[in-house]
Amino acid sequence: MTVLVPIDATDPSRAAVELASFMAQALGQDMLLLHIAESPPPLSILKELDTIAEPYRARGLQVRLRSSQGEVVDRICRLSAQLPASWVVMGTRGIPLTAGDLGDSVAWRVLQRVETPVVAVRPAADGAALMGRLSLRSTEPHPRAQELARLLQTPDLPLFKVDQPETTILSFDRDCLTQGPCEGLVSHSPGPILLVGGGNCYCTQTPPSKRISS
Amino acid sequence: MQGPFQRDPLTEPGGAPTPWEEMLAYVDFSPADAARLLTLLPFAESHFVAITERFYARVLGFPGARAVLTHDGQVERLKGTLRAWMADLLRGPHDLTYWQKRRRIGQVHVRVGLPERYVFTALNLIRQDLCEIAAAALPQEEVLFTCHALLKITDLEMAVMSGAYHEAHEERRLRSLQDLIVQNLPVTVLCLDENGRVTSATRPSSRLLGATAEVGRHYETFLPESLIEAADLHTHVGRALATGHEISIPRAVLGTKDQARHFRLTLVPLDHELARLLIHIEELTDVVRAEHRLNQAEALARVGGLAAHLAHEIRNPLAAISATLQVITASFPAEDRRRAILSKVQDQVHRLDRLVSDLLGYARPVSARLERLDLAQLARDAISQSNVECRLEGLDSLFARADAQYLCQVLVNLLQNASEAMSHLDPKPPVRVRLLPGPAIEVCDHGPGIHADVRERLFEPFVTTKTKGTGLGLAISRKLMIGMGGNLVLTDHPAPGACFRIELTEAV
Repeated sequence: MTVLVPIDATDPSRAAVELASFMAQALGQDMLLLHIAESPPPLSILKELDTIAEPYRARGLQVRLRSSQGEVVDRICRLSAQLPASWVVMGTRGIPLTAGDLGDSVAWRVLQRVETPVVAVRPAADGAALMGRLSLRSTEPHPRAQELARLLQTPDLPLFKVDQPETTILSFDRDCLTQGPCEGLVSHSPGPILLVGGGNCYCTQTPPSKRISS
Repeated sequence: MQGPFQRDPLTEPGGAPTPWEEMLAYVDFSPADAARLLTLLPFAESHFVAITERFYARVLGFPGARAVLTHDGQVERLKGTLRAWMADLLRGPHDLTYWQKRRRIGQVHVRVGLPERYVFTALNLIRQDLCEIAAAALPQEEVLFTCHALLKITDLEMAVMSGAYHEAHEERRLRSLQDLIVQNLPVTVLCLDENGRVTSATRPSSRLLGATAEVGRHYETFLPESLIEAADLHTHVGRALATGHEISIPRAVLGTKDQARHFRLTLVPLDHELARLLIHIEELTDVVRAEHRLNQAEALARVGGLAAHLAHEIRNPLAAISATLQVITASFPAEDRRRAILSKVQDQVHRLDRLVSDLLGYARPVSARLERLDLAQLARDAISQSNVECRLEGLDSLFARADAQYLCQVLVNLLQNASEAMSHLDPKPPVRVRLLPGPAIEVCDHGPGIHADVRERLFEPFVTTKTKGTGLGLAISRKLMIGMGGNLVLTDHPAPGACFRIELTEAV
């Protein structure tokens, strides 16, 4: 099994790689950095991916690279099933707040379509994927969100710092995020948001938030 | 002003004369010649425009030149260049810098594709025009010497131009030869440009990689996807480019089991405008299979050695048991029932003894005495020896190089197996024995055939389809055939029945 990380040149992607590296290490799996484009990429893309991968290899992680052509969401769906991937971890600048925004976000579409568990990372302002305490929103979080929380509960992670904004794990639910109790949370929360989806994922009501770490 | 015979920085200090200096000396272009040309310059300058117009009007009158000089803007630029060229011709200094500059002009003419005949005839036009100007402008006593100087310098210009064309021609020939060599190297090598496109590939690439192996494609479509995945090629390409070091992928396996193909890839980063990465692909399938066979043979040899040792150890006690049984049996009266029981025990001892013999036979090294054999005669002998009803078909005259005793042993084994396979048939049809070109002998029956589960392992020791049998007959037979340089195989035979093929080497 592999942790699949579709990446581009953006900061959220870097945050996704960082988070994925912790997950891969906790799971004892390797990581695959995936670049997708409409046309065959130049060689420099693979060189850049290697540069991104190198620090994680230095930590003992096995990191593979893959370049793929085609429609982004379709390729992620196929590859996650083919590998198979245990998790798909990708970056996002934010989740659309209204139904009208739905078409634009790749992460949004992946969260809805891919069967493999997906976590979309909306990093903190400084680009961090993890900081502060881990907070699992909703009174009955989806099992995948709980699984992610358990995965991240390791002493190596830069959490448990009370003076930093918390890292929030949210189950992906469109209605919850755009209209319900979690509306606005993604765009306004200063700390990283880890949005967990994939397959038939849902979020049950409501606040108050349930902190995982004490 | 630096004269032509003063060495400039382009010369190797204290070295041999440069080609330009040799040429100047050869035509005896002296400082006086240079001075005469310089004297002509102010008279000729005002005529440069007219000379240039006449020159290009003449040149563009030829279709071959027109085909190259297609744009008005291009011709106007060239006219300006020609005027500057004429000024330099007369002004000098005609030193090594002048020569280098003229060589570059010659190389431009080659690059543009202007056939050299137009360049040479054009020089003649300019020489004539400048001579006429000298005749009109200079004192009579200077005209001849000035024209001689013009002859010398324009001859030198032609030599430089000719050299440029010759160098280009040689370079094209060399590149063509290099391309030919690369194309025909018996290796699969691809070069990728910075965009990942295959800019060149050796001819074996298409044989190895199939129809998609076309130059110009991106490597992701040039190479089979299965190979890219098996080799984790993207990861290694990234690594090679990032480190600048050669990366070896020692093994990439496509397919499984008997259909598996094994490859080794080497990635070499390059620093060339046309090639950023070289990929060398070697197929190792044959090597891997040979290694596997060798390992199997070694393993079997070890087992064989152990078995032989064990067989030897068993033989003596078996002989003692058999002898003792005979003595005990003989001690009972003829009608005693215990005789029958002991007889059954004796049968089992004999069975064990046959197993030991077969095992020793399998373990024994094959030392074949090869000779030219008449296969038809040998087949008849084996048929007679086996006591199996057969029908002999095929070539009447067929010879092979083999060991007569071993080959007969193999054939008898196959005939007896075939007969036993049809023991349930009544009437039992004859076993078919065919002598075929190769040379080869086929033994076919109409029995139940060989089950698919057993086919793969049929020639391994202790594999048998018979209720009674040691399972070593076919293993020994194949071992003997391989020891003679041939083989024994089970052919694809339409049901019902099975067909074995003895493959032999030709008799020289």
